[in-house]
Amino acid sequence: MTVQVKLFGPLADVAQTRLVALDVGARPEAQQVLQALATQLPALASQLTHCRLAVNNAFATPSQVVTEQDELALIGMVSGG
Amino acid sequence: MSITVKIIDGPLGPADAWYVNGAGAVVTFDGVVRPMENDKAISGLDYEVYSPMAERELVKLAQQVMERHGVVAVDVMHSRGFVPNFAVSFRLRIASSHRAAALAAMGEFIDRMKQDVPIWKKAVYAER
Repeated sequence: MTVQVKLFGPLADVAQTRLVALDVGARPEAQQVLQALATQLPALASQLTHCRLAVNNAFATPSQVVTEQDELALIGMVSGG
Repeated sequence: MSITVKIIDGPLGPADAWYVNGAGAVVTFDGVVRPMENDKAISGLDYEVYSPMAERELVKLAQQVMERHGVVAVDVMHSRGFVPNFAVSFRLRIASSHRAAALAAMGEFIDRMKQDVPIWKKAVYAER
């Protein structure tokens, strides 16, 4: 199945896009989505250890299963304030 | 107990009066844009906010510091978009019965906000 992941801030700058479509297996877990991101966007690979996946506006656990209908976002180092 | 969270387009204006029933201490923190970033002059900061997750994380954080420190109210505002130098981009107000709880909650809230709340800033460098 295909999922789409939103990117923000410095990660979007590095990837030069704000939305990435990823082909992943059936019933992928959040950690598998991150692995697919590293494969498709090698420029982000070194930073993904500091990133978390958000699913429907909440941080996901690594084993959380995602669906095509979920809103996915890659949350890297934040810098509010 | 009350929590208010607002994301505001552009710089925050002056703080309005904030009265909290039962509070003997009201601590306010204003985050102000510095004119330098990495030793270079900037004209301001551009804030990107992932909504509504940012608002939800701020509410969750406020609930956690309220429970941990026993404060009675949290009021937080953060800017989205461009904020020029010397303007306020972040304001946190915490009210409690006594000052120690509000001061402790203030530090914890800001530290954790910089870890968990999906907001990013980007320097806008001044033209030479």
